[in-house]
Amino acid sequence: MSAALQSASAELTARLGSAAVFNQPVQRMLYEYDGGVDTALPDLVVFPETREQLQFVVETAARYELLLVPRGAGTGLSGGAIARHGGILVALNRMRRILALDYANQRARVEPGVVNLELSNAAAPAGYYFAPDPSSQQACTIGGNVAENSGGPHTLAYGVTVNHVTGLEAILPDGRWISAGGAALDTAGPDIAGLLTGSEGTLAIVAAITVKLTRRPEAARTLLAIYDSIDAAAISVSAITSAGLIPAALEMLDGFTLRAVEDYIHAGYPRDSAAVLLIELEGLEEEVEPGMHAVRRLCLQAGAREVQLARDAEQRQRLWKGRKHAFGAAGRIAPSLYVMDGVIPRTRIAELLRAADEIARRYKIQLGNIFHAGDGNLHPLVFFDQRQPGELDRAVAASREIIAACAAVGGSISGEHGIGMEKDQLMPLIFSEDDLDFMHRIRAAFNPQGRLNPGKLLPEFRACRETMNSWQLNAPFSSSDSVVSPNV
Amino acid sequence: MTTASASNLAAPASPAEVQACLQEAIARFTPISLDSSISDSSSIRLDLSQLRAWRFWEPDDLTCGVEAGLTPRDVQLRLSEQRLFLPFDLPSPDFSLGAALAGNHSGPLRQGYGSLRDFVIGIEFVTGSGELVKAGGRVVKNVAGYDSMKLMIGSRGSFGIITAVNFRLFPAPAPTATWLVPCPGWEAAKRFRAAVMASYLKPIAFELASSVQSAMVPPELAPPHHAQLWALVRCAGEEPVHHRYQKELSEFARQISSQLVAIPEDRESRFWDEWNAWPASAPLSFSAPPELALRALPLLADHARSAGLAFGFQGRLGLGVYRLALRPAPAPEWILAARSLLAGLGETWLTVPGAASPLNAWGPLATSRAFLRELKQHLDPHHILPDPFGLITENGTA
Ligand SMILES: Cc1cc2nc3c(=O)[nH]c(=O)nc-3n(C[C@H](O)[C@H](O)[C@H](O)COP(=O)(O)OP(=O)(O)OC[C@H]3O[C@@H](n4cnc5c(N)ncnc54)[C@H](O)[C@@H]3O)c2cc1C
Repeated sequence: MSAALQSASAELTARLGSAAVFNQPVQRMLYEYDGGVDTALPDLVVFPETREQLQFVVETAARYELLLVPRGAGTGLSGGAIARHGGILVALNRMRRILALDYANQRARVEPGVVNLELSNAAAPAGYYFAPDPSSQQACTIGGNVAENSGGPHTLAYGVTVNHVTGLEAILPDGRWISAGGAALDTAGPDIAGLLTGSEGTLAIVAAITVKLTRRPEAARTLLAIYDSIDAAAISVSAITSAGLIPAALEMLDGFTLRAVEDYIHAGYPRDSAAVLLIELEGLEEEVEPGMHAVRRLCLQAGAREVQLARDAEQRQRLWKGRKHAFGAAGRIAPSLYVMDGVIPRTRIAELLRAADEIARRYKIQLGNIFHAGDGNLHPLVFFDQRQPGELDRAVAASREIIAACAAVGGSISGEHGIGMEKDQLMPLIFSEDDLDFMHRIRAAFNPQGRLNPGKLLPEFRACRETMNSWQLNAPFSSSDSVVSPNV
Repeated sequence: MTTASASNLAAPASPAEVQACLQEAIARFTPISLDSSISDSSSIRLDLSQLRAWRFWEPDDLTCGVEAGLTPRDVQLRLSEQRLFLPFDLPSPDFSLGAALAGNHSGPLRQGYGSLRDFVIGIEFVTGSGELVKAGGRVVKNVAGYDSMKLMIGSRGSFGIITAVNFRLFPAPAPTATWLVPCPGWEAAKRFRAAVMASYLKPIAFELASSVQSAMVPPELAPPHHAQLWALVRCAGEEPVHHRYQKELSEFARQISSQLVAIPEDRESRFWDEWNAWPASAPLSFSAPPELALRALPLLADHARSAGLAFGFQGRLGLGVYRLALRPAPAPEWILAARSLLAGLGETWLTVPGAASPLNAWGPLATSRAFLRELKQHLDPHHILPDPFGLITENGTA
């Protein structure tokens, strides 16, 4: 440990107590991971419990010019909360107070370490909840949701995290506080809260968050559409979207994945099907009933073998439990699992799934698919064994081809898991050098020394141009215009 | 490109030409202005109305991309062919999309659909360094890179000149119905709001105004008593949904000793056009957490009355975003006094975004000026972009 780190560790321990500073290797190793496949060992892990303690941590790091990496629950899937280049990991999961539940104004104010589901549970007696519902909601923090701009099955109708954040208070790496937005919707000046949301902890550490609370709907209908072909399921998604129906959730599981889920959860997905769609409609009783019939009709027209309606709350919960625990179920059938995240126009789902399948076959890897079909947000799952030499490399290479294929049809390289250290080198697939330069300038304003969460979200400049060239040469689905700047 | 260098007016016909204008501005150390009322030789005024191309249009994916000189009306017209729409109602449908984005304008439909911030999925702009860049993309969900869309929307050109925008679209709403609810006072308005918000109803518009022009409410529908305030609810859905609203809203109205006035179907669309057109003159903007706004507005009304000003307002009862009209226009001292009057209440924002003003039109900004100045410095290093918030110059222009 460097002299600077030793001094910082001593000062932090004196101020926060030894239970709030992990400096032993065995302690630090627990924080080498997040939910993704990358690892890196932090030099120190600190657990501030208050705003003042957080400020002290940030100021200490500034004084000794040490790197800082914010962390929530560590469920992120793109390596965002990993200390890629070492430094101090600032674990915010002990700043977990709900500061205000203001039902009259439909707002809540929370510290960043509040777990997503805890806020919804706290607001439930008043009939409200926090709408973004990542499948990890039992564990992930709202600070992490803000940093990743997380989505979830029900964000199709209700919007992702940024649509529910109205205000943030955050500390810059030099120790200055900034506030952004508020509880009001139209505050004066630029929308810095919107910019900070999704910035993956590379601009500021968020210390308080004001969010909208959403009224629970009166009625819900949950449908399970069962298919003998993946194409028919994909066509149903397009049919529902283009008919102008917006279900609250529209999720797809392919045959391989749903069988893994059945073995684990017994959710009630037919094991002999090629794919299922889990579709939920919410609203007034008078709205969901005709909506349900319309969706059922479209699914059957598109080739569904059967469309089941969840009979009661118990069956509905079981169907959702299968979806929400699908990553866990998948994790049981292979030693290692790589969860990908890409987005495509909703009209291209069938085509992309076929392309992904072809890539998997070429790389001789097992692929599963479970995703937010209504948003076109794919999550191909690569099953592999990290202990076998070369398997991780093959899994990563195949995944990158699939993500390149998403970019090539006008999609994005991430719909909700973020760029982190997983995809920083893939940014040139969808952004030009000038686009990235503008983002670097934004970062330089907040984080001029680059001490906050380095090595995340943006590629280094030189690497950027090289990566772009190599992808143009190698990506099988790329065309020259789509690789460089397919978007806008 | 149409340029008239004598008056320094440029009307670029493509984003590349906008880029050329900004590069010229950098070379000449001359700032860019987007304000049609400014025509001096010390700035290059950009008229972006010729940026009118459609970039893409995917009706089945409910997305489209257009250049910023088109108006919402232009876009709406084409979308309606496929029964799609942009839930975007403006005081004037002739605003260009670029202006609407830069000013973060919104109307009553924000209650049901959110604001531009919620349905812009991609943006292209020319930076203060003269580069043509983009953020976001063409798909409805996307977290790759910083969300510069948020930085551009509402910042009035401070960080770049918007040239094109991609939208997520919505299916045209099912048939709508609209009811007026005369509210006998502020307490009644507050109770009516609370009842609607606590119900399962999800109106697409939920408004409150100090008055309705007589043309909007035909005499045969005028309510029996003189209302102090008017609430307005619009829903979308089929017949049974309308009945449900009618039933519940009648009960909520009864609880405040009022009654519903249904706007006849054949007048509904005109009614909303007129509603959106109010007030014609440049107003003040006021925003607060929605319930708190109902405590602040009566204070503002009294404050206006005591200064001999006529006071009117209209806005989003569900969301706490209002436009205020005062006649004659208030002196800067009135606005400063109003801000300090409200300061004790909690979080309130009283701004003068529509007009150049001798005082700082914005009051305190949500993010510290010192930090925003640094951000501006990074993104507009040559000081050629507009400075509406007064980050570089002492006083901003609106
Ligand atoms: C089983 C499983 C299911 C998942 N399902 C979904 C899903 O449906 N939708 C979805 O979007 N994601 C999903 N995820 C990914 C993940 O849960 C989300 O990204 C989540 O928001 C991360 O929260 P966290 O508290 O774990 O953050 P972490 O993983 O600890 O951190 C994530 C990022 O946020 C930054 N960060 C954390 N806190 C702060 C703060 N206070 N200030 C600034 N930066 C901060 C970190 O630096 C890092 O870059 C899933 C993950 C798993 C393991």
